[in-house]
Amino acid sequence: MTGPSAKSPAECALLLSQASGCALGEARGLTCLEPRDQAQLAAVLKEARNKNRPVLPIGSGSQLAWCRPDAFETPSFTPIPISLIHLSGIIEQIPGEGTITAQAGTPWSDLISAVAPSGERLPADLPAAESSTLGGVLGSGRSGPDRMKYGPLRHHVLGMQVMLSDGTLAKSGGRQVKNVTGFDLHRLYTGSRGTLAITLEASLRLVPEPQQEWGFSLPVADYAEGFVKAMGVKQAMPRLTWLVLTRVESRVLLKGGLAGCASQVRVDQEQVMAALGGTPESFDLEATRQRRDATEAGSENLFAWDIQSSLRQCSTLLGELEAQLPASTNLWVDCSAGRILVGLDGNDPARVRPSWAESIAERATLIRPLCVGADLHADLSPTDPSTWTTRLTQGLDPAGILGAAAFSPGRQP
Amino acid sequence: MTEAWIDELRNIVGPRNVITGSDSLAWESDGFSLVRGQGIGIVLPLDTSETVRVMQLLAKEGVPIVPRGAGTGLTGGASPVQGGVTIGTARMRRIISIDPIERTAHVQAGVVNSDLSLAAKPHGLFYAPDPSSQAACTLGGNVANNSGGPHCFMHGATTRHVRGLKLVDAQGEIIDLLASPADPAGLDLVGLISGSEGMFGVVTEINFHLEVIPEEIQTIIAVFNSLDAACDCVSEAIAAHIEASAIEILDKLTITAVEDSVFAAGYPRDAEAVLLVEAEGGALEVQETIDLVLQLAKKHKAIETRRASDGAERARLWAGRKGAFGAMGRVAPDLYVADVVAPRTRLREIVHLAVEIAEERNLRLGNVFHAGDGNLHPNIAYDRRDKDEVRRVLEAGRLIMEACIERGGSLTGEHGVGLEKMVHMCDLFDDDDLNVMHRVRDAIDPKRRMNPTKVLPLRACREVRNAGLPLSPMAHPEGKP
Repeated sequence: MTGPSAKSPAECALLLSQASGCALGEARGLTCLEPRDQAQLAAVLKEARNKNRPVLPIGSGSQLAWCRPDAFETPSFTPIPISLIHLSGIIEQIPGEGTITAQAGTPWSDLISAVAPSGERLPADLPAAESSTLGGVLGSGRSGPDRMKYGPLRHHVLGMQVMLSDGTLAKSGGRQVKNVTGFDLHRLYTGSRGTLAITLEASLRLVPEPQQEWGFSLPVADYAEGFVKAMGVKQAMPRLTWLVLTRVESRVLLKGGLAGCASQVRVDQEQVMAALGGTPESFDLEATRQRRDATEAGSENLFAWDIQSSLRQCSTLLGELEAQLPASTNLWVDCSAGRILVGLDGNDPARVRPSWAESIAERATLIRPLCVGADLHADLSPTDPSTWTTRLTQGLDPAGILGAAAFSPGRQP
Repeated sequence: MTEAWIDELRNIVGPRNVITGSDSLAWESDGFSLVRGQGIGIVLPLDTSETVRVMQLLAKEGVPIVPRGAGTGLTGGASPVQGGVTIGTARMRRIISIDPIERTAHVQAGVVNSDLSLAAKPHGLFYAPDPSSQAACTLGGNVANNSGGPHCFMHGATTRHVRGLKLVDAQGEIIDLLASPADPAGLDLVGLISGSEGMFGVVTEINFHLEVIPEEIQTIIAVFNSLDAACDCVSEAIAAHIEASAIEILDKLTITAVEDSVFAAGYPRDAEAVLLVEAEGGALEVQETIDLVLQLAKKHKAIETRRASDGAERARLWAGRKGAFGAMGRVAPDLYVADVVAPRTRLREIVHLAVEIAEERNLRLGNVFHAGDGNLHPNIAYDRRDKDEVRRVLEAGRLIMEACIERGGSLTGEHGVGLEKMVHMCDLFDDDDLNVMHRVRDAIDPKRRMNPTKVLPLRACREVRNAGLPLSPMAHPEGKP
């Protein structure tokens, strides 16, 4: 292998394109390689290895903020984005099996449409379904607010086929709802942000489409009070499907919903309203809109910090955040997981290393920035108390061309 | 055990907790009794700290390590076939804490599965995965095998309930992932370790997610005069998106064995098959699910349907189901418990095939299985003193596995690969797939001292197929594929 290329990302993308025969495209303002099939993807990776040039699988690019290539300060280490939008399509969906298998570039919305006729839905309600791809969703480790009922999306990934940086094709798991054959490498790939391998196809477990949904939106005084209310209703009604806190204009709203058997939802909604203690007039009730709004509010690129705390700590943390942040700051809180997304103005210098972050870091399980500039890339290194992450990355990608997340811009890998 | 380092082990864990010589015979196999091995001895550390010291010493001596829970595994995964030291979790029995707000339990790995639900009950919580051996098997063993159980139809297998864990690796380094958040950033190491069959280290502590005890539980049995009809009823229920918590089938041989045993549950002896369905949740949704099952049972010509009248009857029905493996001891002294996964739309076809394969070999086959997940357990009763019968049992097991895989199923649904199914990994995966698993293993345990010669074949698949010795240890633990 030669030394790292000194060419600019655009020049390098062009070189890789010419050498591999892969077309160039554009995603989110970035020039990217768009292989038309697996053979071309293998050719791109081969050229990337030969030229010692990192690459970055990006799905549709909707979650790019964590490692946006144009934020890198040293062009020679800037990863070249690879989009798999041409590796798209549903491979298998057998009515009665409750699973679906599709190629990585398949839009999330296509999966939703494919499973609806058989009375099923995907196990994560995600925003921007049209612009998200299966591979991107899994690579970025996303889950929807309905994780309260279904659990995180990674629990429903049954198997995967991936391509390693050396072109090796490898599968793990399978297409069955129950399977413990071999290591669950698909669990490892899910949320790995493409740093171990490039996902080519994946199989998911489906969930039944509920007969009925119901949602509520209730104004609360502030986030801390809202969270206490949320814990009360969660205790009273274990069958809640989702429960979030968000700010709409100047009001903090507690939003939640139920989904399932129609007669049960009707009974449960009375119990939820009683637990919340509002009068019927104080609720804004319309399930579909509430769910969509809540999902969108926790959406891409709106938030600068992602805090994962215990439920026990969450109310205190919310109180501290409200005291320290500007009153207009939007916090989006998934009350089932103790997850707080903090939205800050993109130009606010405090977004880089806010004063409150240090004190919270001592008590929150995790803090990680989602939407950052170059100055925060260093904090994106996976937080692993051991050396396992490094060892696994080196084991599967010894050439280091997929490890963009582990390195800050300007730092030599 | 005469080496000086054995005395050092005794100094670490206490003399009584290092077991050698004839006292170690009870550890020579697990529930898969066809495979036995004699290691150097068994070490029983009390906690993570002692495990670290033990593992560091064994690393220094280069000794292979076999982690072991209660030894109830069914694939030879805890048998010390390559020698070395078995590290048992029998003394790690503490439920460290239960947090009703987070709905989690922090436990040591040697806690018995059913003890956790008992401890969580006063908080209105329970632990969902319920393997048939739950009165004996340990939670650490469940994590290693990603164990299932009847109620995993609704709640999912063990891996979905592991929030975090603490592991001691082959070098004696602690990997503390106990505080792993609900959605971890970076790599999901907890997900990787769960189901890795002890090949990355010894799990010493686990943080489990607990479920809220449902307000309503109903259990019904539907009695059929054909196994086909019971299978078809389940396939249709799955296609109708039934939201039951457990869907189980027992066939005639199993029913007879259960009814003749201390686990007698009141299953009708003249039935060809019994379908056991449980629903849990709110009263109305449970009612709707049960009504749907009754309707489908009628459509598929069930000769009798019955609802458990109270908690005692419900407990009896489940005791029969979970005691089925033990009850088969009345049929023959040994039991080969197969564990394969069929596509849920092809249940009837694959159950049929299993019956045919057994009949052709003059074997006694009982079927008891997690029908809702397509997870079949064709159980073959045999006598291991009869060498020819052992040969026929293994042949039948292999053919059933191959039939499942050919039809889009899988090798194992909840028991793991262990030693029993290792060579069959080549039926499901190719060399590249297996090499990537080896690369992951080598990244964590480059000397391959953790549970050597299990799960991953050490030779290329072509050689494995040609060798034709499914239960022979195939290579030196240090060997590369």
